[in-house]
Amino acid sequence: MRSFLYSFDFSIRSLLRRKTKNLSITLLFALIVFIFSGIDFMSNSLYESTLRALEFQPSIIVQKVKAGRQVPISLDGADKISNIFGVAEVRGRVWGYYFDPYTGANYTIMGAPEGLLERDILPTSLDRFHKETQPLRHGEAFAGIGVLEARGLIVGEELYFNDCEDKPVAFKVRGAFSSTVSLWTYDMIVVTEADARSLFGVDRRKAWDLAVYVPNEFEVPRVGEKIISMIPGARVIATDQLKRTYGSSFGFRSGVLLASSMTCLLAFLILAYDRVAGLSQEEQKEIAILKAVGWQTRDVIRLNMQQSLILSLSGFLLGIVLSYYHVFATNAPLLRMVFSGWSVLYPPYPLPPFVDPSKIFGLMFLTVVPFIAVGIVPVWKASIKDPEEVFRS
Amino acid sequence: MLSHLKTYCALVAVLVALFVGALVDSQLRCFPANTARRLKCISPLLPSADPGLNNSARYIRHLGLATPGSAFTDYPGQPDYLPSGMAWAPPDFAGLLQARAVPAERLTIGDGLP
Amino acid sequence: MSAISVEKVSKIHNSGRPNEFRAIVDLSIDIPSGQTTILAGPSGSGKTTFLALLGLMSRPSSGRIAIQGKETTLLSESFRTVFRRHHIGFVFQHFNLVPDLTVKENLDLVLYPNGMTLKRIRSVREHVLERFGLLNKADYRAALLSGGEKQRLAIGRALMNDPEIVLIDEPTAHLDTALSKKVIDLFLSLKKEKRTLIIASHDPLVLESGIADRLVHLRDGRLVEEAA
Repeated sequence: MRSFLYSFDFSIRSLLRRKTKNLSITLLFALIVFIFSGIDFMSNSLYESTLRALEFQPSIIVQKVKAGRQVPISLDGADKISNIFGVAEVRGRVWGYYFDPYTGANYTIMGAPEGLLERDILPTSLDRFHKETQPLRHGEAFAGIGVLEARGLIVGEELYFNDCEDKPVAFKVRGAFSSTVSLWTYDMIVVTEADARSLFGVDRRKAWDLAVYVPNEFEVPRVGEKIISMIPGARVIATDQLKRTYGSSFGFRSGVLLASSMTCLLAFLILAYDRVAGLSQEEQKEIAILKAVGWQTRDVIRLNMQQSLILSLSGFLLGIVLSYYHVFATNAPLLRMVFSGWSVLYPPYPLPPFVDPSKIFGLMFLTVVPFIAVGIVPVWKASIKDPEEVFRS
Repeated sequence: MLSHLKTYCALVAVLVALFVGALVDSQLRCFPANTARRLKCISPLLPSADPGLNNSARYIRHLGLATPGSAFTDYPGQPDYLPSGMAWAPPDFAGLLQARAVPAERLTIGDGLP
Repeated sequence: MSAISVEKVSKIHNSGRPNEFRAIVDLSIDIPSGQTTILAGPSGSGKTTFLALLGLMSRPSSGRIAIQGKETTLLSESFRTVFRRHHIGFVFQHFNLVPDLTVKENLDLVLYPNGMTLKRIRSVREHVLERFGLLNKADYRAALLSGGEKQRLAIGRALMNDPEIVLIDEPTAHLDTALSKKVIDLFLSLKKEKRTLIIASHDPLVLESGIADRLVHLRDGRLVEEAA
């Protein structure tokens, strides 16, 4: 134990003798870990958030496709689907995007199901501000904070839009969504279904898509197949499919970012190679001196492994800690653009910090361990040479 | 004697403490019950579970046609058809937004405050 | 009892290559315990190579070397290192100090693998520093020491493990006359401790210092003359 402590202390002092080089390696190591873990933190957090919301989403979404384009679907289909065994509820949804020329932002406007109560979506506001429950009425809206900020409004004021015939429509803001769910609601406006229909010009017997609720998840594929056979041209999107798509989409973005970080990785590999592959004459002589004064080969290898461990562990911890605070505390200014896309209404961060410890330790295994391992062979080669041979050369 | 080791151990201890702090923080903050309850409330109103951060343009709630790798693109490798495009950012509206922005303290009615 | 027994030892450098060179040829010698032996001879006579063989820093091409009765030629690399650590101190011609380490650190290096307590390491180190007049230079980097100080440090390092055998290669090669005499005085004090000293030198100052119990002349890797 004592000799271990001494050699660890000696390892640090040895590293300090080449401060600039070793500090560069540590910082580059930290940068690599920072980038890789940052990408993983960000994509994992978004993916997990999405999955959380997916839990409460309909099991199947049915769209109508004509000429490769989505078109409104007839509500007759909803009646047919509701007769399928295993289907608990089918609901036609009327929703769309609204481009606001004044702010340059796009809002998502959703037609609420009939009888939507404020307490259903704004649970605490009811307790704090309202004595009785009132359903959402014609001409009223619940809005995301982003919408209110962009429009410069407060609750109680009016939101103005132009409908599909370019006639102005006003909605009184009844309330704003909680900031805790602003990841989903920052750009959202909820109005009554009838208001949404008139705003977007959707027929009464049509909806933009159908939300199908199937309580037993094992029945979803069977129900999906039946829907396809019942409604020609239907596109059936199951929750599982969405999960896969979200996964591949986040994976794609991570991949793009990782690919663009290759230069950084290459620089790191060059530095690491320089450190481990080509022991300089000076380093070889130092090993020979250690051997001459009584260090065994295993002592020398241990010294090298300790040095690698010190550099890589410091770099790893530094990188992972910085990455965590960058993503989950400072709103990931360096990665947000890649993952968020180009948006006018960015939801306020920080993201919920979903961290998978096994991934962190996996990253450690893939960075620290190889960094230590690659140094062993060259040092072993140098340390089995007779000291005299090295001194003579 | 062993002074370098002690200094290094102190440094690593700080980093490990921050690392463990991050892990604990992630466990505490990742999805509090409050958020889960609210998400459950608003979820039926969402057009999709997608937080809308996923596409080239945030406002496209469905991945569908715009997302590479999507299970239901129109055809494989379909480019983004949106006006904002994939490579170029939309015009900078930040100034406009700032001019119209309302201070947070004005948004005191309802429950929409950060 | 012989401290070192060498029997028909040869050392060939670059064996089988065009630049093959026979540094030591069939050399046999017995070195009694507690005596001081001087290996004399011109440059290239094989003194340094022979010391390296005795110090187990190189393997003979043929022959056998026994140190304190233990046959060392067939020992594994690891055993040779441990044996060297416990029984042999080596003072190199070019000192072979680690230049970026301090005087203290250069000395401590020797004791690290022994698993000593901090207190013991400190006490051994302080003793050596005091004995060789390096106390006030303890925190200096080895690279900043003068030639004489480097030599004293190299000797001190060789004695850190308190070895019975001390091998010294050209100790006065880089020193002026005054410093050389001081170094010779140090060797005399080691001799009084009944250590077995083997000094390779062709410096008349060393040869005539009277330190030697035995003088051995080498030429072209062969033992040509031996005198008491």
